[in-house]
Amino acid sequence: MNGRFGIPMARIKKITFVSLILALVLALVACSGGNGGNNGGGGNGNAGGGTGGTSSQGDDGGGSGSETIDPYRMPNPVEFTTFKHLGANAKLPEGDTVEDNQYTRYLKEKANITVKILWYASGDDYEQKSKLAIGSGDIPDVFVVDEQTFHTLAKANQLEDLTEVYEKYAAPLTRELYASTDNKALESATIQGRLMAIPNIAVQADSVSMLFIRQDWLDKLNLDPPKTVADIERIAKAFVDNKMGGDNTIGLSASSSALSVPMKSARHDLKGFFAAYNAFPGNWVKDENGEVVYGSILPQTKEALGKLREMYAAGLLDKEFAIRKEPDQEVIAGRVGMFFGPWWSGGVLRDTYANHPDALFKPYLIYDDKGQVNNLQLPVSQRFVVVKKGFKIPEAAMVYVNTFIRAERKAEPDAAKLDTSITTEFWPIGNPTFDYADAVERKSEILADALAGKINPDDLIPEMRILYDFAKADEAAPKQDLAGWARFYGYTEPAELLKHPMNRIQNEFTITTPTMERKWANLKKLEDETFVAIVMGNKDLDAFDQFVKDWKAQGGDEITAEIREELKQR
Amino acid sequence: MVRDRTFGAKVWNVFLILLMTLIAFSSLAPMIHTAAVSFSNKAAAAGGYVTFWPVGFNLESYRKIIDDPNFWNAFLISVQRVLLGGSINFLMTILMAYPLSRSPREFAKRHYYMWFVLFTMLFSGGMIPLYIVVKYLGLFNTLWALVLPGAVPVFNVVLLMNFFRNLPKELSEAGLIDGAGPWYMLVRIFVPLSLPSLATVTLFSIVGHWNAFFDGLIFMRSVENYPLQTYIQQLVVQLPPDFLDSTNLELLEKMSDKTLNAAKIMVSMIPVLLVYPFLQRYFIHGIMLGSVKE
Amino acid sequence: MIKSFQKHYHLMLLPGIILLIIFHIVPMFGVIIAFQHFNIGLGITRSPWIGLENFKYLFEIRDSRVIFYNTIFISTGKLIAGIVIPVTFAVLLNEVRQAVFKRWVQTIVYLPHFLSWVILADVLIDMLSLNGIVNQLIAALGGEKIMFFASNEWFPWIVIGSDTWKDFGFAAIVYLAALAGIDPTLYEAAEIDGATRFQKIRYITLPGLVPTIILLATLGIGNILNAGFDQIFNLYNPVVYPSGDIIDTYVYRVGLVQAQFGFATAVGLLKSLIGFVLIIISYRLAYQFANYRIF
Repeated sequence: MNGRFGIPMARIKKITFVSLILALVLALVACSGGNGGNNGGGGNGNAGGGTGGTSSQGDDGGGSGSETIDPYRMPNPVEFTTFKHLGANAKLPEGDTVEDNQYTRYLKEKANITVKILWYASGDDYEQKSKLAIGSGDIPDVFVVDEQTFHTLAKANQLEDLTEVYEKYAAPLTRELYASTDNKALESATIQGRLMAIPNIAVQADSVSMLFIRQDWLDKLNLDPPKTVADIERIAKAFVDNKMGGDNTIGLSASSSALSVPMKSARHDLKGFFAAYNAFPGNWVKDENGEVVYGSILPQTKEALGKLREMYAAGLLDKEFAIRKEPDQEVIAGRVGMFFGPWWSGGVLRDTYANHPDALFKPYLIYDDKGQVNNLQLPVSQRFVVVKKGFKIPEAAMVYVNTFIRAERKAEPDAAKLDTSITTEFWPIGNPTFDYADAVERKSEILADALAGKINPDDLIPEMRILYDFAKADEAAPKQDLAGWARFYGYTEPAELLKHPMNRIQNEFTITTPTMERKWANLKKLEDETFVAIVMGNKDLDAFDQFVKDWKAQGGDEITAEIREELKQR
Repeated sequence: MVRDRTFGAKVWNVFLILLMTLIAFSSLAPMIHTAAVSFSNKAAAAGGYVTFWPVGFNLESYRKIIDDPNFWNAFLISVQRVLLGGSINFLMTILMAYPLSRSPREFAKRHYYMWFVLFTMLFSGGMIPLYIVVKYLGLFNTLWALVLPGAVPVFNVVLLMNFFRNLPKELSEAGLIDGAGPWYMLVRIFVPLSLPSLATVTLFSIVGHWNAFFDGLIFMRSVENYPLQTYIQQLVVQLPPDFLDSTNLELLEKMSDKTLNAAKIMVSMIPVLLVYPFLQRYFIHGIMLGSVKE
Repeated sequence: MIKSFQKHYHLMLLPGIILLIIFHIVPMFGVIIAFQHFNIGLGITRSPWIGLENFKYLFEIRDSRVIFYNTIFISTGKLIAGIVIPVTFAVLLNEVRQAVFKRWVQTIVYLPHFLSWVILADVLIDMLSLNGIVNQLIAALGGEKIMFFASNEWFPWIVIGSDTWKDFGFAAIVYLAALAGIDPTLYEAAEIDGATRFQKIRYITLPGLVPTIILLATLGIGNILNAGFDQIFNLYNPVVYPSGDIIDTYVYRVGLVQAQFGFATAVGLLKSLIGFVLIIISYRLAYQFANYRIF
């Protein structure tokens, strides 16, 4: 039988077939060649990315009729691998295991997804092990990583491009959550215009550093509560002079790493102190001209160090702050008058009260000389859900996240039945934290309303109910159950402070650049040594100026330029 | 023997006893402190109020440990590891130390093996390649992963080799005259006369296995399979600052529970405490006595 | 040399050698990482080759001289103390007549070896703090309090001293075992010849320990660039960086910035290499001048 131009039909078929294959191969080569060393661009050339496995590029499925996409459920059962962080001591009810618990069952039932957990570990061990695994080429299908690892993997072309996946599969609730961050979250997961991960949303409450003071000492000495750094100095002096905590009273306590401002407020840091000077040593912030600059070399940092130096010389700052490994111990032993800490510092207070029933701490925010409270924010996203490149069903990750968010937000009837006292880390890929950025403040409102009778306690979700019960018990018998008190305390006074209007300063750059790999340890050592020496009086305050010069010359300028370059490209 | 009963000798002895007692106390002090903390009240321990005696005596921490199935599971795994690994170590050490202890005259290629062994003692490819090898061999998450990589304890081999070398030459010569082959020499002559050194390397091997935590972390899939020290380490050691936030409050509480940490340490130390006294009876003076007749 | 024995010697060594090859030699392929700019995303196969740059970097660091000096100073201190103290202790304990007492002491002094530095550091810092026991004693004797951990003069000695205290009991075990192996007839003969205690120690006990001492000293030299990361990491702070920052702690901080397996592996390789060379030199020296083969 003859086809066109007299060539036999079979031959035409063969030629067509072969040329199609050739075209496909060429397309693949062209696209991956373009990707070489580049990150994730040109995702369409990827043969593995489709849903139905068809090779045609045009059919996207969305809205084109027959396929309706359910953002909460996979059409066919899906299994993917992962490894994850699971806190030590995380508890499960009888009969449940890490692979089989209420969350995994919920996921399977609602979303048709099962997860195979290759291994899990906690804390520092997880960090080490995951780096080792990744470095050995052991990358699972879907897992949660920190910002640095995310960028490393993306640049090494190990991640699946999720731009389309998000477009098509993100649920309305998910989009709403991201919108609440001004879409900054999605931005941080975008590299060169493509979305390479599903970012989490950090709870900003953890970034605020408040001053906890021995209110009972203040009252005994008839002093006003502090508002500014000058007040801190004044109060510290009064505490020390009057030996309120015995012979070895510490006015203001600090830790050996306190001369650098952490993003997440830590007990005994000096974040609140530095913030009152608008100084953020250790972080990259914008200066008055809007340029990104390293906080430690700014004049405000020098000012703040100067004041700390004065306070140290006057014996108001813990003389051994740079050496102490356990500053908490001094607080619990009743020798410390003031310390900075996050809203969840209740544990230390609890132990102090156990040893000193008359003690009373109150938290305060410190203002700068313009009357404002400054706070360095956490990056909007710190954890990223990533998909290994080549994984055939990347939308499973999006569906997982949608399901997770909906369940966490209790927007689904069955989700309300989940027992929230079981840590969310038992969700298969762990807990990347998708909460409203102001989650803590919201919870404190709910608690206050419940205590005031505006909400029926029976309507509370299990997690809040537990807090409510402790709070009610404490009302009846104050501080009798200290362990219970510590559980809900954070949501009362400290949370109130969180609602205070603050001048929120952004962390402009939180990962590393190539030059940083080589030069940063040295620069940090220079900074740590110099700052500690200045505060302790071993060096003059003017040594700061020399430090700035050295810092710039030994790589600081290079790195600053690199960072500005990189930010432009985002 | 009359001489030893002189006044001078007695004074000397008393002085030594006093000195040793002092030293022993200084070694014991941190142990007593840890024990005291483990029996104390949480808040008191956190405030640094505990020195050598418990404050607010309670057994809560020990109860928590006894109730924690993971702890006992890890304990069991460590015991298994010590038994299996210790036995393999014992065998390997003896088998390798003996030939290496022979002089070049007796064993021509000795030098090559010796320097090979020394080389492995000093050089390592690092964690990543070992991880890859272990995975490739299918040992991930098995007891063998904890036992095989360290199967040849090279330091102990060198130590035992040294002991063997310092046994009198007359021994091997006597053995030769009696027509003994190398296996006979090793098993019937050298081993029985090296009890103190064998006890030493056994002790080191047991302690090494009991204390190892890093390999447990890297090669085991999850907490259920961790050996004891890995399990303890992940509870006692600091969290990296990044993990310190409100989502980890419970973990934070556990971490700063000094009494619980102290209790865990005490419990994990008990077996090692028992091993040495047990092995001490092999430190026999005069083990060589009568072995070679002039 | 008996030809037929050779075969057996080789056989005895075989299983061990095989295991060593599998788990020590094969993974050596990983040293290639030392010559790469290792990126965990790219793995061994794709990370770029940078030759000796990782090694150069170690020497180019502003403080490289300081950290090398600190490492060697502390290491040497520990090496010397780590031999003198356990040997002295073992010899003295050996002299005690009461056997039961001896056993108890032996067991007790080997205990601190098992405490981790995380805990001991706490205790030590507490003891040496401004209001700790030591300073209280100093004040009682009329002296001025010293902030030990803020002093670059004191810090290295605290490190050496506390490490020796922690491990001397454990190290002494080896020497006690060696002492047990000394021929008692030698002592009896000396007794008959009228030797004093100290003469016996000098002419019998110590020489009996010499091979072991030399062996452990040589192996210790091979470790000269490992000054004890665990201990120093838990004890140090920025004030004592000038005297306490060692190679390993520096490498650790570099790794905090961005996990740098390439650099860390290069440093490890360098340490092993230097250690190995030193051992070879010691071996050669002992052979040339004393006709003694350490191994």
